[in-house]
Parts: sequence; C-alpha cells; structure tokens
Amino acid sequence: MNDIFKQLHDQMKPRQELLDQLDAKLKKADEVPVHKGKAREVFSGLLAAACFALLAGVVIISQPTARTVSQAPSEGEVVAVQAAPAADYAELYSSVKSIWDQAHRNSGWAAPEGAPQAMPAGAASSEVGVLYSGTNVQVEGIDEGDIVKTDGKTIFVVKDQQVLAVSAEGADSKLLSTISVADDAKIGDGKRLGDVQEMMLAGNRLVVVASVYNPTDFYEGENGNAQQDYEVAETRAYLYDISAPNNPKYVSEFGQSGSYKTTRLLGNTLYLVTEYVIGEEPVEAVPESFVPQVSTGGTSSLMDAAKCQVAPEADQTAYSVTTGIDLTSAKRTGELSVLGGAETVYMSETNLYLAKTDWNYTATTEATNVQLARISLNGGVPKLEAQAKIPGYLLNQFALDEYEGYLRVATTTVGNDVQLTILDSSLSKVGQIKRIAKDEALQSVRFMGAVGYAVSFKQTDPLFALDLANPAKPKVISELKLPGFSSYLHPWGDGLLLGLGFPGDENGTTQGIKLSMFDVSDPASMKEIAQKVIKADYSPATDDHKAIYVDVERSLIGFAAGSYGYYEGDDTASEDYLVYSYADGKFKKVGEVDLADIGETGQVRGLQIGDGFYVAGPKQVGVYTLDGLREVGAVGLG
Amino acid sequence: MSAEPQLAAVEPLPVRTEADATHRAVERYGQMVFGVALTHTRNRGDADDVFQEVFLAYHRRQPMFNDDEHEKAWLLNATLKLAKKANSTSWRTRVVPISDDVEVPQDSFEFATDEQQRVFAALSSLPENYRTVLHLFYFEDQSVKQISEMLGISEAAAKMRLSRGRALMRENGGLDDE
Repeated sequence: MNDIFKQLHDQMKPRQELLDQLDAKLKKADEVPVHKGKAREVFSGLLAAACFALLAGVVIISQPTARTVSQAPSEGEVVAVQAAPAADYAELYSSVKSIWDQAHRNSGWAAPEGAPQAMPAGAASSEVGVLYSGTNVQVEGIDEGDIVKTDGKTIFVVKDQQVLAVSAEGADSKLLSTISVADDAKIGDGKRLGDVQEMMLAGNRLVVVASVYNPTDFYEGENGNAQQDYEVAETRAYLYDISAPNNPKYVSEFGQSGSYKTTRLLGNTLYLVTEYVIGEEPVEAVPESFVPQVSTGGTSSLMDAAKCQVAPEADQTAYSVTTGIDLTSAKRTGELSVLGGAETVYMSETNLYLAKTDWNYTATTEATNVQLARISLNGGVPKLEAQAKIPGYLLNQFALDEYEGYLRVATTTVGNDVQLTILDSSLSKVGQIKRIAKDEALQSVRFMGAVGYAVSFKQTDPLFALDLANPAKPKVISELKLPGFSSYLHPWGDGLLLGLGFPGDENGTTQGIKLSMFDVSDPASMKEIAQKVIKADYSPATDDHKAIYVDVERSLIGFAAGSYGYYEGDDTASEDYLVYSYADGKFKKVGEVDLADIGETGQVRGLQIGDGFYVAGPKQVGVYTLDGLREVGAVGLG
Repeated sequence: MSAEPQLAAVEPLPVRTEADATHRAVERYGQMVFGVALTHTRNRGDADDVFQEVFLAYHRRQPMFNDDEHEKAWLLNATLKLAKKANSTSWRTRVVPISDDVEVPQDSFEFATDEQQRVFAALSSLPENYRTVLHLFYFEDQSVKQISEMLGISEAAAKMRLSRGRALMRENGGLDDE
C-alpha cells in the first residue's frame, strides 16, 4: 500500500461511539422476541429499521422464496395487476404516506441498478437529399434523445449549459451559433439550472433538456462559512426554433417534477419521462410534498389527482412522470404520473413501457421483480392501461419489445436463470421460456420480429436464437457457444447479426473489445463468420447503444474507446474514435481519430453526413473523409 | 400469502443470546466494512448506518462460512448492497452539486490533510465498479485474484477495472504519476 493510501486507511475507522451503538443494538437484538408485529413497537427510528430487517431475515430462513410482510407474491410468478387512479389528493396522500412508512421501516429496498440505454444506430435519413446517420435507436422511427443530434445540415453538440450549432459543410464547417439555456430559461429565484442532459431534433424544433435545482438547507461548513445545498426539482424541455440555425429562437419551456430519464420522439410529439422521488416525509396539508407538478413557461401547477395513478405494489415513494408535448404547436398534449417509479423505458409506436426493478434484498434472500406498466399514447395522451410484475430484473430497454400486440420481456432471475416471457395487451402471461440459460446472466438481447437473439454469459457466450412466432409457445431454436460475450446486438441485413462486446477464453473475459459477425440465416445453425478483437480497455459502446454508429448500408461501425497502459507501470493512455468496416467476412479498420481535442469517450458521437464523417464532442467537431478517416477540417468549440 | 405458517416455523429457531461471534467479526472486518461503506456512500452518516446494518444482519443471520475468505466476501457484498440501498434512499446523495463555486457540504468525512482529502475525493468520485476494486486493492491489500473471487468477476475484468480506475484517479488528480 503506498503511503497516501495507508494514511487514508488509518483514518477510515468506525468511531468508538458507533461501535458502542452497535454493541447496544446487538444486545437489544438478542432480546427481541421473534414475533412479527411486536418489533415495530419495541424499537424506534433507525433501530426499528435495522431490527425489522433482521426479523424479516429470520422469517425467510424457513421459507427462502417468500417475501416479507404483506407485499407482493413470491418470485416466480408473472402477475398482471390493476392500476388505480387516485380519486383526490387525500387518497393520493394516504397511498404515498403508507408506502413512505413502509419504506422507512422495511428492509427491502430498491436499488436503481442503472438502466443502461442501449441501441442500434443509424437509420439513415434523407429528408433533404443529404444522407446522414441519426442516433442509434432501438425502434426505427422513434428517435431517442442524445448529446449530439444532426439533421444532415447542422450538428448540435451539448457542452455544459450550452448547445453549440455547427454547420456540416465538410472542410468549410463552422460554428453557427451558441444556445445558452440559462439566458432563456425562466428559472425562478434561488433555483439553479443544471447542465444540458440531452437534446431532441424534429424539423425546425430543437428540444434541449436540462434540470432545475432547488436550494435546500444551508449548512455551516468546516470553515464556518454558510454553504448551500441543491436538489433536483424538475426537468425541463426547452424548445428552440432552429429554422435559421445561425439564429436559434427560444420558443417555450415545459417542466415536470423529477430527474431526467429519457425522451422519445414519435412524429411531432415529444415524450418526456422523469422520475420524481419523494425525499421528505409527505405532509397532507402541503400537496406539493407528495403530488408531482408540471410547469409551462416557468409557471408550475400540481397534476390533477386523476392523472396520478398508484401502482398497487409500489414500494418506493417515487413517481414516474410522463408528458407528451406537440413540438409544432408548442403545447402539452397529455400528462400522467404513476407512483412506483421508472428506470427502464421502452417505446413502441403505440405504447410506452416503464419498468422498475424492485430489489428486495435481505441478508438471507433476494426476491427481485420487475414492475412493468403499459402506457398507451393515443394522440400524445399517455394513459395507464395495464401493469404487471415479472420475476427477475431487466438488462436494459432492449429486453422489452412489442410485436403484433404482444410484449416480449427478457429477464434474469435472482437464481440466475435467463427467462423470456410473452405478455398480451393486459400484460397477462401467454407464453414463457422458463430457462433459456441456467446459472447465467443475460448480457444482450435483440428482438427481430418473430425471432429473438439473446446472449448470456458465465464462462462462455452462448448466443441463443429464439422462435417467437407463436406467442403461446416460444422456444429456443439453437445455441452457439463462444468465448467472451456480446453486450450489444444489431441486425446487419441479409441474415447477419453484428455483436459488440468482450472477448474471452475458457476462463472468462479477457482484455479488449470484440466485434463479431454472426450468420443467422439459418437460426437453427448459427455461425460466427468473422471476429475482431480490438485492443482497448473500455468503451461506452459496451453499455450505451447511442454511443455506437452502425451503418449497415456503408458497412461501417464506429465507437469511441480508450486504452490505458495495462496495469502497473506502462502509461500509454489514449482515447480514440475507431471506425471499422465489414466486408467479405472480415472486419477491417478504416481509421481512428484521437479524441484528445474532441472530448472524453462518453461525450463524443460519430456521424456520417454526405461523404464526410464527423466526430463531435464538447471541445471540437472534427471532419474526416469517410474512407480512411483523414482529417479535412475541425471546428473548435472553446 | 399468509404470514402465520412462517412464524410458526420460525419460533423454534434458537435466539442467540451472546454476541461473541459478531464481536469477533467486527474486530476483524470492521475497518473493511466501514471503509467500503465510506468510499461507497461518501459520507459518514450513511457509512455509519451501513456499518450497523451489515453487522446486525450478520448477527441475526449467523451465516455459515467455509473459511475466512468466504466470510470476508459475504461481509463485502452485504456492505456493497447496503451502501447501494443507502445511496438510493438517502437525502445525502439526492443533493446534487451543480457548480464549481458551490461547495458540497454533505455530512462529509474529514481527513487530516488536504492531500488526503483530495485523494479520497478522487477515489469516491470513481464509478462504483472501479471504486470497489481500487478500494480492495489499495486498502485491503487484496490480490487481483482475490478481488475477482470476492466480486464474482473475471481476473481480466478486475485488472481492467483496476487499470482504468487508476487512470481515472490520475486524471482527477488523486494519484501521482508513479
């Protein structure tokens, strides 16, 4: 251990008071009679929480699959549940309060296991004659918010609280304008604007999403100075008219309670999803303490009780808030909040699906379920249609897919079985593959109509082909075992499937990033027909689909990756944007761009526009040739 | 689901009346549990809560272990999960610093020197995967092999996280070039 770490280590010790406290609790715990119902009265505050957890633990020893108390069926069943709109704020309050009380006494918790977004790039658009690559999205025709957007003429790049507009004119590209959200936003006294999170682009409208923070308490710092804390209050979509990209005009702003989850665009309607966590104990006389709000032009109002639904088995005081906004008329079309939260969002052309994993962990057992909600979107009006609970947890948005009226859901159960469940529109189970893989976790999944592909991993990478033509009888068609695993799958035309992930050997994964091409023209006999292991230590492409540029037509794949001197000593750190081509059964490197002047790997995107390739990040937009990636220009962004 | 049958089944279980085994675990692993809790919650209040919850769970459950490594791994994983829970529910982490000129007060843990504070800040700002691996490597003197076993990841993954974590620490000014 080197000295500085030793110094830190010596100080990172539990204080004597803490040890004494624990000691007292241990003694008390030994005295607790093992009777449910008594525990809550015996102890108060933190102690009650801890001891209740322990009791729950003991209860479960005798029945390992049962969940505690009155919540939820045990893991293993798919249960469709009825949604309940609140009649008024009083009813909403009592729901929120009871969940609050439960959560602050209960040992079970929900740990938001980041729902990594993942998805395929590059539905090329050609609206103005120039072909360009859009954001790599899950569902063709439904755009997803991102940090770089283009319409083939202008590239918009997020940089802190600003959005920079750069013309895509090859060597003549230049900075057109800078949008400073802070100049236009109606924030209100004492509040602060956060950094821009993502953008959406539709015709002449640019949507810029950023959160607004509320001041909370003042604290006295170590030096005696007052310090101010902030917490996220709401997330807002700022609309700009970019008909003249050199002179963007602020149009309006739409806000809603909670922190940003995602945006989707279908036609001209933007859907904004946030998660609003109630962090302070709700007070019935103060609806603001438990009712989500929406704002227009900086003016907030409480959502109607009728728009607030309570998921029957919500176990956290967190709402998902979904609104529709018509970008042409700049009007909100609908709003809905569901008490129960949201972490994974998938949208088809007719429905939005929100999923939240309910991690229920005690010292002895885990019973983890996905709470799923189907929200219809007719005319931009989100409406809760059905809810269900499915055992296990979701990998990411790709684990959800709607096809011919059925929803397919891939989960990994706590027992590490990879499962596939098919639900009808009421979210009732119609079919299931109980165990695609045993003792493995799902690593990637892609549904392509009547066929699905799933990758699980323990030591090797089985790629499974699934026959989903009959929703009542889904089945595994075949399995292809390979070292390593793909964390992202992308359809590659004509019976091919692209995989991006990690290489491996018989002992597990090894260093690098691996591209694979699978021949799936006969799903009963899949083959890996090409592979390339790229020397790199990490890439955002392995867990964020939007970080990948996939252009099937041009046979190109691009992503950022970084390398560090491997392990001790050697420090040849570098970050690059890499482009590969696939042809004739081979991956070939087209070129690479050093990211030092452009941005960090997670902040950059590669775009094809016309015959140029652009790598855009907060520091610079670089312009390159499509073949060979030779630099032809660069626009510095300060 | 009726709770009664479970209770009936539970009652015959002996209730432990002495805390020796737990005390022994606190002595041996208390610093690891507290340290991991601290680097994963970044503040003393939550670290204290996690510390207590881990050992209370240990005490009540009295888990059976094959060996010391197994016990250590159990405590580590319990700490990580409870820290995650604390982070998802604690007001302390819902507070978001949004500007360089606003100091983040939190219920912060004070180290003796600015340099130590800076190294801790750099470490605790790493993504969780890296933080855990670096913590075990630097503070607990665990080998890459031990780390991979404790966390249930491959050795290559452990090395990758260690390497990346060190590089990020360097970028954040928390680690001098060596």
